[in-house]
Amino acid sequence: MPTIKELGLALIESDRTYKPESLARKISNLGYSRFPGGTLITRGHSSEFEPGATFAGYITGMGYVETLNGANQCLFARAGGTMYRHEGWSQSWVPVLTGLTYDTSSLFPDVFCSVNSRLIWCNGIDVPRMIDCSRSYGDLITNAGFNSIPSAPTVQGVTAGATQIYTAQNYSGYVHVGRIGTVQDNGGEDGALLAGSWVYAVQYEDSFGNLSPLSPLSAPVSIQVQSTGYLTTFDTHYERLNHLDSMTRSFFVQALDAGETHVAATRLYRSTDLRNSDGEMYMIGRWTGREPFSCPDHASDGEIEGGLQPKAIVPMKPFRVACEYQGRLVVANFMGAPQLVRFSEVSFPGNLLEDNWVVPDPTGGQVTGLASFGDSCVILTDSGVFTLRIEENKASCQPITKGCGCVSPATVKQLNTGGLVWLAADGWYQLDRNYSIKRLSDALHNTISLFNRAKLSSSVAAVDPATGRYFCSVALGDTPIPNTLFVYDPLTEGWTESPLDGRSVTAMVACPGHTQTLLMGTHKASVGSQIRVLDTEDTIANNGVLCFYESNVLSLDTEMFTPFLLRSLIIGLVDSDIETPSTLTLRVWQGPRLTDPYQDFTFDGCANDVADSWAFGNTTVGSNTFRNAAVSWRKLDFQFNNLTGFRFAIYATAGHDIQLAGFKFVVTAQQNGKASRTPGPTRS
Amino acid sequence: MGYRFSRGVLRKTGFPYPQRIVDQVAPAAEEMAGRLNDHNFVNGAFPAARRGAGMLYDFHYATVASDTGIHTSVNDIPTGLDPNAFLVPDGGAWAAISDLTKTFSCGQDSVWAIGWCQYGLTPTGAVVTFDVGLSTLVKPRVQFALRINGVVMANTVTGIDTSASDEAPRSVYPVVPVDAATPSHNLSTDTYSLRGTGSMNWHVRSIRLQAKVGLPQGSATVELVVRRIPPNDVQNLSGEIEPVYIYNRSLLAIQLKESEAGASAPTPIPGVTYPVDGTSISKASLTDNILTPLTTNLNNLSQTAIAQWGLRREQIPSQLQNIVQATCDAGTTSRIYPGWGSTGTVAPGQWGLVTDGVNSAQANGPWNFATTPSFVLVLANVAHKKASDPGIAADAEQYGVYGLSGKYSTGTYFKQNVNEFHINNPNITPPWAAFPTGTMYDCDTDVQLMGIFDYRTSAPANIIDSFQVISTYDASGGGTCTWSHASIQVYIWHP
Repeated sequence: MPTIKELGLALIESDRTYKPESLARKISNLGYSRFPGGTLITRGHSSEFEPGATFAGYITGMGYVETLNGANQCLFARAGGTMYRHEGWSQSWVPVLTGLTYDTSSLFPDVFCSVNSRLIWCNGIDVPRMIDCSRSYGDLITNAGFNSIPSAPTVQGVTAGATQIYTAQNYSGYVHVGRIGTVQDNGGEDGALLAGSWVYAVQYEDSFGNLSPLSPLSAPVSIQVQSTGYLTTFDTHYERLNHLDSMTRSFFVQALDAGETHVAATRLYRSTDLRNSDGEMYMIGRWTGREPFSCPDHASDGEIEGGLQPKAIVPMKPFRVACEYQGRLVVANFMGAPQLVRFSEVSFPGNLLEDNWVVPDPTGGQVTGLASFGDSCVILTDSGVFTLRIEENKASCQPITKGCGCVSPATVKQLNTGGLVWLAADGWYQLDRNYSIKRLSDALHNTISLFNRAKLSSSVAAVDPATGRYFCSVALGDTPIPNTLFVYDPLTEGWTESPLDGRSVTAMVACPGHTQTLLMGTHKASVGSQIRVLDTEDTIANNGVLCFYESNVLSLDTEMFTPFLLRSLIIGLVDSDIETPSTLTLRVWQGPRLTDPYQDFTFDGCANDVADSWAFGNTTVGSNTFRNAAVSWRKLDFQFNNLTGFRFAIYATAGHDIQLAGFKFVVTAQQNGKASRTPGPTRS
Repeated sequence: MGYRFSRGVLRKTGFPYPQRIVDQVAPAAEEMAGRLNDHNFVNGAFPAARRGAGMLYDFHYATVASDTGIHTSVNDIPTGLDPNAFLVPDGGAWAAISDLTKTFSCGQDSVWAIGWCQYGLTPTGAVVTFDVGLSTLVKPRVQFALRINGVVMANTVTGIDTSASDEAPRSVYPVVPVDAATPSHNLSTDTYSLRGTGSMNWHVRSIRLQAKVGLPQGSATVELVVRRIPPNDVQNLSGEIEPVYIYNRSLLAIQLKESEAGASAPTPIPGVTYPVDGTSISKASLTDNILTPLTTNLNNLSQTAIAQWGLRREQIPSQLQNIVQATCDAGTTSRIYPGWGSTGTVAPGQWGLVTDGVNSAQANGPWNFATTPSFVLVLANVAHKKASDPGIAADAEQYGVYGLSGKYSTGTYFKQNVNEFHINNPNITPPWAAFPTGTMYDCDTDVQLMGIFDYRTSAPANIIDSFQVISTYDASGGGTCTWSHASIQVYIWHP
């Protein structure tokens, strides 16, 4: 006897009509019809997005951004070691990045995250990339932020000499009078230049204003004490020459490291006098372009104080999880730091400030999901759920629950109805707007037990913009890549499973806006890797394909304690198959399991009473009348006694359409084998 | 990403309820209602496509015809200053040749701007003079440039680059009047000249500049600007410094619309009548209500069907419908200039084709602009060698004259005055008292021509067989105008 959790929990009430999707367990070659809503209609799964385009290697990630009010539609896909850009005008995918690391055992699918009209991409191994989609379909692809640290600049200045020297020593011939130096009385000596030290550092800037980490500090350049007074051992000549204004110095700075190829400018910073002031760094210049430079510096501390100070930025290391939150890029799960979350400055996704980090899980759980949700950023780890809020660059992290984690970052999606859904090891969970969590997938428990848990992290999901359904592909059985599509409809709260015609789905992306399309990166041994559009068809090849509908286990109560008599099943069909009404098959299992005894019944499909054939295209269109689909009901009577649960399936003969509109059930609860009342009981 | 996906195909066995039809049709219809973008059009779909009432390329141009005043007939009698001549102002500041200035609105578009003009000194006397006999101090020099949105395009400023390319800006373009004391005709030693503008009587030249720049959204202004440069940036200081005038001139700004600013109203959804419950359908009704409206709309898409910002440069390469070009080598003509505003035809004794005897600077059609409204731009260069009359050994008052003309299929030629161009022989010792005879040197100067023929709204009189460079000689009979080579390019835009 199955346990409670293994049951589908649709309660049978004879006075209620159920939409097929709400009871579905598995469907094949049935699609979601927008009219009448909630019906399932014979349809192929998908069509090729760009016919004939196949990719080498699995498609490991897809990203989509619309800018310019939808006029600029940027679509990228990564397959194998190559990133492709979609160019609809040539019906092609054009390689834009090659040499990426293609590791089929990679922990998670690629991250594509849009921030401020830019796509941030990372596969967890290679340098993160930023694709500028603000115009021209993402022409500009650079490293996201900077992942290396600039070399320290070198400085020449006054380096030698004992105190009280009257003429500072040259270093490499370069000592010029400038304005650097702290002037103060030295002991009882009037008008002295104090001993002081200064350091320099550089910081790169990219064309979006993102900054690199600050370089290491240069070797300090120093000035020894000098005085306008003189010692009697010195020639008075020096006394006359040494005036305060001629003792302050200038330094010569060289920055010879041009940096990463996307450097757009270099900022040069100098400290104030390390010995005689707080030694803060301030910007003294900015060199545009990617060139080594050298320059003299003669600005006094007072002149640079109050200027721009360097930001403490950390290198953008490869990450495995990312999302946008409040205009910031939030990234997590770095190599060597899987528990760490960092977030950028607003509008500068490359600027990861040194202090902007949290480790949400005190026990060090790996971060496996990030999503903006409500007014916070939800952080999912492999064993818990947390919220992150950021105010004025200060982060606070609160736990919501422990014990319910996420297995794949690519499954964390927000539903149109408001919930945040993700895949955990034991099924799908939803976080609602009150931050309470429930498991959505109890009805699939039997199937969930078949998950290939070693490969759950490769699961991917997306929410179909057109229907609001949550699509998630999961590796089932011994398959190493996600090969089964599970679909959750938040309106009917029903799950369906679709075998996808033998295809694996390794990437998904929703294309909102007016195109309202859901794209899948698929793989099938016979055709290779393709990008396909879900829930559409471009041929009628599937016209000959058998389509079937299989229900969940149905019982009278959630515990399956109440035996019942199943008298009739009433099937609502939308007009279909006008030419040759098909014979449909209903199979009823007299128990919750597919191994239980079953009985087959046949019944007529629904046909309109017009005989002429028609089609849209090159075939004949006769005379006909449009009508909005009406639902016809077929009632099949049987007497199955003492059931505690059952399931049923409907098969359409190959070559015929069906459109399932709803189901009703006539059941009677039984006590000791006798029917107690008709119709069935209300929920107790 | 355009719609290419139907949610289900309509099958022979399927029942035609309305939603199934709408599902197939609505995406395409909606896409045509202002949602089209690059992804909907094949690469290179817009070489010169029509958008709205105009074209994908918009053309903004101005031409001003102004005679240099050299001759009106075969006599050395200047007519005086043409009323349309533009005086290059004093002071050395950039000044727009104001009657050429074009202002237009644009989205984030590219503009190909081409400016052309003929410039020279003033005809000041009834007999000859272009202020012959000026002092050594007086060597007015001018620079030209294109100015777009108030910014002088640095790469168009003449007198900076010494590239030999005909299209490239040159070094200083001197307008050097007579140097009575030390007449120089040595190309290499005249510090003011780049191409042999030494001692000369008077001087007319042409310059053609171009720039292709991206423009921000908003109002754009394209100008051809000119300035005098030191040391002679002020004219007529002592009555001796020569004023410089601009004569025939044109400015063309070809606006390549990369994206639409979106001021116009969105396209309505094509007039598809969707089936409703109870509609009687037939093959004819489906065709009439759906296929025909869709087809009609597809065939007549206006620019408002394209999403704002939906087309960009990479989708609209600067392709033209047609470029026809021709070149020829050295040749000569001894035709006699019939004078400014003359009949404007190639006729014996008037104008001759620039040809080397085998090839000609003539781009051949034919083109029927009545059936294909088009915009035509003709660019031509002639390497003018000299205009000379062996019988007048040292006469600087000999001019070569070049022009652009078209030839109808009827054999008749036509020409615009603004496309006429005069060039004198600068490298000659001037014939005045101190130098009763002189030596003629080759001129070897590029003559740059530009013609704009706008046949978008009004067709020419006939089918046009060809465009050609024509030439004649302006002096007493017996002389010749000689060139070393020439080329012509005809650009034709049409939908």
